[in-house]
Amino acid sequence: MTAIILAIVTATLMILLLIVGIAFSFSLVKRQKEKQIMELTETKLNFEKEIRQVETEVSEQVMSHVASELHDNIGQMLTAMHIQIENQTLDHPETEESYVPIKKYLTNVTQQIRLLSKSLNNDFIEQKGLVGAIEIEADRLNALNRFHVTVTKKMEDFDLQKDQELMIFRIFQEISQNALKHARAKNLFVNILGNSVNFELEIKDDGVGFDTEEIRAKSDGSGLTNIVKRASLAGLDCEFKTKKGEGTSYKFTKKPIMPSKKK
Amino acid sequence: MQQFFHHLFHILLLLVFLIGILSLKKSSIFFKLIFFQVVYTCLTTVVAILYKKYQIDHGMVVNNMWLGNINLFIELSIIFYAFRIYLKESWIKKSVTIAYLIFVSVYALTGWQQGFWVILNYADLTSCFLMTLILVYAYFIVSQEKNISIWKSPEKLAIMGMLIYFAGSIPFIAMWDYLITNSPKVLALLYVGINYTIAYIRYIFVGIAFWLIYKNAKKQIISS
Repeated sequence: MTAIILAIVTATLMILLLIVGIAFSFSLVKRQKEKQIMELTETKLNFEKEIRQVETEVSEQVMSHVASELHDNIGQMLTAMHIQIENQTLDHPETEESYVPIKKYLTNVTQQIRLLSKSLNNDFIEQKGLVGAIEIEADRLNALNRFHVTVTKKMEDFDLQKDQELMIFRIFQEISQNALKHARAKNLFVNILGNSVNFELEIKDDGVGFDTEEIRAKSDGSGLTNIVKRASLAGLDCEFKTKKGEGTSYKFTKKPIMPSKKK
Repeated sequence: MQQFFHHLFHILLLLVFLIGILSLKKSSIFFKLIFFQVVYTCLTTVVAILYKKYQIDHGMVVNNMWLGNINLFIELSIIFYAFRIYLKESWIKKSVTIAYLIFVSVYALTGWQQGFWVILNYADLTSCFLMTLILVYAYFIVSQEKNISIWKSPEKLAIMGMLIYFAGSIPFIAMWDYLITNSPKVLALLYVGINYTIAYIRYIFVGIAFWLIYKNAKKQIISS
């Protein structure tokens, strides 16, 4: 009888152990599955990031090429035109008066081309720094007399990488182009706040605003998507508010790095 | 000693019933059915006690087996139905129905052959096997849906409690016929040692599951 009792008790214990084993293996399977999904998501994200970086690099190269073309070719042609006009006025001083408006426009165009060529060239952003580049771009836009860009800054030395600065500058360009072309804004306010830990860029326009869902539904929402994706590449949080007839405001913030608890 | 385990089981059942009442409002249909099964077991236990007393008072031979057989049928019907609702895929719903029909067939056959005055251990054994399979699958599903500790998941707790009970009963019930003929004393000993232990585990787990539902509902009310 003792043998039967032992056999039954052992069999029951074995079954219970088996159940524990099964439960444990189920949770292990789940963990493995979650790990795989996480790895897959991470790979996808990295892949997307790489594609975006390549896209950015390509577009930067194209912009640099356009900038050098503007500077070297069109700039040279405009200079040649300038010299030609100077020669004409020297040869025929009586026509000098009639060349004054042309010379004025030519000077303006040359200046615009020079500034545009600079703003398209990423070396210029490296040289001038982000704030300097934004200020020069603002001057260029103001010279167009289409709207007014006001730049305010409250900052100490902020800690941004060159790539981040370039990305932020391109975001600023995209937003200012949108404000100019689509929003029909009269004013664009740029507010830069920064210190060694935080960085914040706020851009507001007083244009017509837009319906986010409507823009996203249309294929031409790529500008907005570009801004958000560029911001994510630059490691910034992007927040924007807009309503039809009430302008648009964008806020980009760099997340402060939390101090490590480890000693 | 047997009386002590008996009373302990009654107290535990009563506690689970009370916690079940607290959690009832916030429970899913699955847990409402599990609660219904607890209520039914409570009622059967009360009826069994009263009937036993009546039999003793009137000098009758104490035999509650028919009550146990009815309990087996209704309890299993509720649990099969609960899992038919809980498991979402149609093939497993069909499988649960087939499993239930197998159990009913074995129950009817053994009942017809042996009569209802002896325990229908073949039907009991069949139900334990079938429920073990269903519960293992249900535990797999719930562990794939929610990767949280068993102590925080009411579903995992209730399923695990029942799984321990039904799977753990298999060796003991398989030997029931042999032991009742050859050594009723050993059967009584094992009944207390094994059946009560796994029944305690089952109802403790179900009770904790009810408590978790109640606690989570309370938390939601506070946070909202």
